[in-house]
Amino acid sequence: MKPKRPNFFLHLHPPKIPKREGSFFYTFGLGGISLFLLLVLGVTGTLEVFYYIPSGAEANRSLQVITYLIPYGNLIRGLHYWAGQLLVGTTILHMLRVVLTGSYKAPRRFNWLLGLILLVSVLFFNFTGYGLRWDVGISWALLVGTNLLKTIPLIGDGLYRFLVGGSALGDATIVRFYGWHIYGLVLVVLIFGAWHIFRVRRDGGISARQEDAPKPTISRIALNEKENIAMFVVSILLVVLALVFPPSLDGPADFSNIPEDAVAPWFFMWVQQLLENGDALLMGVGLPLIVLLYLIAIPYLLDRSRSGVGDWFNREGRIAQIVIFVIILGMVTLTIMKWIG
Amino acid sequence: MKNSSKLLIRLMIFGSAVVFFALLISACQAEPPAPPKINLEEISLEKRGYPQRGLIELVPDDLSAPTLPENPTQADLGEEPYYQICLACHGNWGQGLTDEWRETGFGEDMNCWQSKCHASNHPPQGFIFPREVPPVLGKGAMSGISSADQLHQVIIETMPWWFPGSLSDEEAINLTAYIMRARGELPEGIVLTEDNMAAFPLHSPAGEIVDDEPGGIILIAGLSVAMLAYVWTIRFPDKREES
Repeated sequence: MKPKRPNFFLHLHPPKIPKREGSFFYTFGLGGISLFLLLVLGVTGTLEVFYYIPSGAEANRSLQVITYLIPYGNLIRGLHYWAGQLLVGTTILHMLRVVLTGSYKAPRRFNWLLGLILLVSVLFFNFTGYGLRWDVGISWALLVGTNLLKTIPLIGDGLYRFLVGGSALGDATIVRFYGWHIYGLVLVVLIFGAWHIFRVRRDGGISARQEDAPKPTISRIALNEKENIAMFVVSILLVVLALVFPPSLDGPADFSNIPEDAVAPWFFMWVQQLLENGDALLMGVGLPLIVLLYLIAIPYLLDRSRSGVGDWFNREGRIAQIVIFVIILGMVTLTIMKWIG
Repeated sequence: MKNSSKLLIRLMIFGSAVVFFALLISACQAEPPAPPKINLEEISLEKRGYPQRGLIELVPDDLSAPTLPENPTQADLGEEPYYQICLACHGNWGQGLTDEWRETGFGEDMNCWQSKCHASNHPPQGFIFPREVPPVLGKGAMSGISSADQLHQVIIETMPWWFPGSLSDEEAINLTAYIMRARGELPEGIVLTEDNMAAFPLHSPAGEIVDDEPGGIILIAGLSVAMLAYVWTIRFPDKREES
């Protein structure tokens, strides 16, 4: 029998992975699932581009065509929507896992930053994606989200014009959102995503306990098998979600007449709740930025230790763990308050 | 892993993909509904050419009132206001105010514009007839209107000619559905609403609305079977290869 030559997908993995950290209950496959979801988003998004028309008059109409008329358009749109939703979840949970296992510690500090860039990109992806619906349901979030920029001193107005493409939401806004959504952000995620994955290998592979004794390992073939099963499970889950809970779509947005009971997309609800309780600049821009600064500070200021890597709830990372819990608890509480209120 | 089982899995994945895309392609091939068959012997000489021009008989020549089916659709409900309000000007074949229609519709009174009828000196409860009324069916009809949404707007804002804006929202939507169905542009089973109307184009035959559920379920089933087969081959690898 001729010797096995590893294929491209195997080549992406190191030949051996520590058994404990290679197990599902260490990573929950969150990074890999996120990558797979990105691929699904790329494929379904490409199909949507065939029919989506980025203009004020046509955007919502073309989405109606995709949803109601194009064969399997609703399914493809549902897959794209749910992959996007799940991606927000998997990236946040991936970040949580990284903090709780101390995986952000040196030498992986820089990769933590790359991960944060990807997280923020995913949120922008979702925001621009929702914006492209250009329907009544998203009009509040679009108007408020973009108006928040104006509150930033000095650069606010310029930033607003840069993103919205004028002094008010209109045709130019859709084209810019479209540009970011299908090209600009894709580029960011491609570059930083590839860098992120490269740095995982470069920084010594998956974060693992430092032990003197040789550790049991698994081969990359075994890891690849797990990944394949995860992809099957996620694919099936996506189709089920897309069929059972298809994404909503209202009529075309009318920014002169925004419904009073408007609710932001779920990942934006915590900001909406904050906005209702205080100054727009402080609550809508300041607080989210402070949260981001805290996240950036985790490996650089809050926990500079090198030990405890690979240990769930390691003692050295206590402060970082408390910070991430407070942030996530705060966001979840605000979201629930908005949801109920 | 056994080579044959590997091949089997690949075949399965490939097979489900082929089935899925075949479904997609077959869905796109759906033909528009055929226009109702007309017995040419039974219609007047003037109307012999109507079917070729895409006109169909909306109301029979004896102008008998429409009857509602048991569970009327939107389009069925639109037949009544068409008969009551639109017919006079737009004709029983949707042909517009042609000489032929004036003869069928009004017989001796076909000269609508004679003094004291629908001329400028019409009776107080009457109105002036327009000299030209565009057809609503047939080739080139309603060329300036591109979607159900626009048709609805035109109906609600400019119709009827003698009292624009007097139609209720529901009447206007039902009429939109009625006209579009007659034109073969309303996909079967669709209920027009304010929100979805923009999606339905005029001037292109309606394809069949594809239900994505069967295809989705086939996809789920295919993926599930492929996954189980995959897990099976991992659990029970071929012994020969290991040795």
